[in-house]
Amino acid sequence: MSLSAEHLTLRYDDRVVVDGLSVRIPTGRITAIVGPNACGKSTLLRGLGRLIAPADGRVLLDETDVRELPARELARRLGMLPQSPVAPEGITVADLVERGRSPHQSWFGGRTAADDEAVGRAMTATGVLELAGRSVDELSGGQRQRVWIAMVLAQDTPTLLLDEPTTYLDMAHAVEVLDLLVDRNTREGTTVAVVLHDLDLAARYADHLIAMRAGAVVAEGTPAEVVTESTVETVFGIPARVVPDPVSGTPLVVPIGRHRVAPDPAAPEPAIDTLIDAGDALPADDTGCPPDVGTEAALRAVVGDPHPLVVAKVGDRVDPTAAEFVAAASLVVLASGRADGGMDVSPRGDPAGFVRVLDDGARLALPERPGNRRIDTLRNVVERPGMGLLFLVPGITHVLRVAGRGRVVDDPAVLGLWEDPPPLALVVDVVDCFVHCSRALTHSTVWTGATPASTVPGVKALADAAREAREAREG
Amino acid sequence: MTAAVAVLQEARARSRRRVVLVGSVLAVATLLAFLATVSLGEYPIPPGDLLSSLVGAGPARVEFVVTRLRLPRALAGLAVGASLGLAGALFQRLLRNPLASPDIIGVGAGASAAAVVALTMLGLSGLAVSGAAVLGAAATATLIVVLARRGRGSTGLHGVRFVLIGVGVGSALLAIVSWLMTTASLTTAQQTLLWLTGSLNNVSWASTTPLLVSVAVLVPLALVAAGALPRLELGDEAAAALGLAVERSRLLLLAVAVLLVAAAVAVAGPVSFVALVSGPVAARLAGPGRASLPHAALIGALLVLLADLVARHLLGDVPLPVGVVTGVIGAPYLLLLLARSRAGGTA
Repeated sequence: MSLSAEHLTLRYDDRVVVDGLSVRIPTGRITAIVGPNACGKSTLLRGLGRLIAPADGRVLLDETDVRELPARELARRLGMLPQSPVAPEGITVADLVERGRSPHQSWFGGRTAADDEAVGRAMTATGVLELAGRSVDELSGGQRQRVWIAMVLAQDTPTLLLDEPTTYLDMAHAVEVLDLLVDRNTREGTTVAVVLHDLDLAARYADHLIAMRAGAVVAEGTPAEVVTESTVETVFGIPARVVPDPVSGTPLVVPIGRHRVAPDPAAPEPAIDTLIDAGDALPADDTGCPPDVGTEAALRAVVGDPHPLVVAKVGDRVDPTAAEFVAAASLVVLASGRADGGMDVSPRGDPAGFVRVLDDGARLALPERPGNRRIDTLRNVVERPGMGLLFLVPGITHVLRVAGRGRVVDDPAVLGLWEDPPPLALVVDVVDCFVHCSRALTHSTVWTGATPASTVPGVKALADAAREAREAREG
Repeated sequence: MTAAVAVLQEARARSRRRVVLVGSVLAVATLLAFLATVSLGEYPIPPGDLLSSLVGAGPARVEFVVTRLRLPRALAGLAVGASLGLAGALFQRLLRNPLASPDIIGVGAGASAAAVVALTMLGLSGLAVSGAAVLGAAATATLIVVLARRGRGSTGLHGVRFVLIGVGVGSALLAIVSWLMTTASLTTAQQTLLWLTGSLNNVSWASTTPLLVSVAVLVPLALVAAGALPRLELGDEAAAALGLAVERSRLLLLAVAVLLVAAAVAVAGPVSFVALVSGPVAARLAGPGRASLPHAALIGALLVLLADLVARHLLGDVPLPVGVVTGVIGAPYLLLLLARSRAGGTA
């Protein structure tokens, strides 16, 4: 028995849900189809089970187009449990499970000994035999799901498709249901394809994983091949860590949300504020803009307003929380304006703590030590004071941005701030200070796998501190 | 494994005993009600004469009363009740909604509207009115199906959507009926009103014979088509996964059910609530499942026969239309159903 789809396109009315997809369900194995909500995974399963007619392409069962098979014969070869089947009011467990035999019976319900055997076997395997005379309405969710699975097992097909059979089940029942499928697979060699929303259970129970996003297959293979940090982020759009499941050794996904991420050195990726990210795209997208984006109005049509939280993050000085970040930074990227209208960007690096925070955060001081073409930056600063500074901490994906007006000084009192006084220093009057949660650094993966150099305040802490400081001054 | 099979057979035997027992009791009760309908009246007929005249060996006078006057009425009551009971149960199971009986969702109203048009505007009578009622019921059912399917996909053919559209169409048709009634002459209006209430008072062989023929064809057809119900009830996708041609089976069942209603309404008018109550009562007595469909037909027949007996004898010489009595029984049941479905959170 082999089941596959060729260039399958499925749609509801005009909405294409699965677009030209080809996939093969390995025979005799357990395949799990995973993906975010509305990625088309249930639709694909329905298409494979011939519950939706393909708009294009075809589904092959043993190299035969399923549309060419009589419905009853197909139902003897391919069993399918939809996501929310309806139990008729008052129906008993035995009656419901017996309905799984209807593809094997004539229209008038000629029941044979083989039917009874199959029903008995299915009910014993799923542990619902003792519920035989009970009404399905009275059962718990877990029992009810087992009854439905008994029904589709009684259908006695060499291939089984199940759409989210663990939805609404608690942990224990979900595991129980999947164990049942493994029992069936190992005992009878049944091919199983199951749509699961729980990636960890899918990775544990499936031999083969199909990861979908937006109606297309993104990755396919063994759980170890498919469940990687980058695939999880591509498929589900959330950064995650993947660790070995301590019970099964299969991949276990630990998602990283915006909150509740411990600033623990053992967890290398701190919180990523995706909401703030969205508003933060403007500077990065500058270069990619088509030439007709020449006014702010045109820009606004593409780039949304910042999230309120982003606005609240702006501080007019480096507050004590931000100063902690500055103290941890070992790399500063400095931008200054040139006389010809261009900009110069140059790095400043020293062991962490090389930037001094002065006057309650209103000023910063940077040592100016000899280096290549340093004269460019210093000339710019002498000629026009506006400058920008970006503070980076290795391993930390958020960064602090400071805009200000600088001057070059040789005042010994300033140079004496450092144990090893530099020949010159830059003193910057802070205009504003802002924390970027830096999609750029997450997506460049430049820090992926790096251990943070030190503990720094998180995005939220920095934003809160800036807002509180401002409110304290204004209020 | 034999133990498991034994458990199954035991459970099945238990439900079969119940189905047979309840069925027998209902059949006997229906037979008694039928005999009572034939023997009771202005001219009471003793049981001995009744049986002999039924086989054509009784006194001529008795035989006239029985075969000319009472038998058509009793047979019509039996057939109307059985048709409505069976059709109601089919609708309810097919649409998975206890409110989805043909008298609630406008199929009955369609038959009425067409009949009233025939009576008041076209001045027709007798079989022509019956024919109009059948056409009206079929046209209304088609309209509801078409409207219900205009939603997303083809999943609109069940559940609340179908019922709501049916109720809407029914209300519109009843408005037409009311308007026709206000414009009709007094005599026509009175005649029409009697028909609208549901009555067996003017039944003769001329209208009973076609009814019996239709029922003899439609009831077996319905019971065969009902072979799809156990799968259809599990939802469209589960039914299709079990190898059923879902749309075709459903349309066939709907068509048979609509024709059953039409045949009954054509003879007796829209006798209220019989279709609504029979199915659920049968399921309660005989247990749920396809097995309770004949029970629904028996309960419908029993209900109409008993209601007709009460209607004829309650107020002495003034015969009430049977629909008044079924309405008195049915209205509280409908309220109970609505109250319960609200409390249970399902409709």
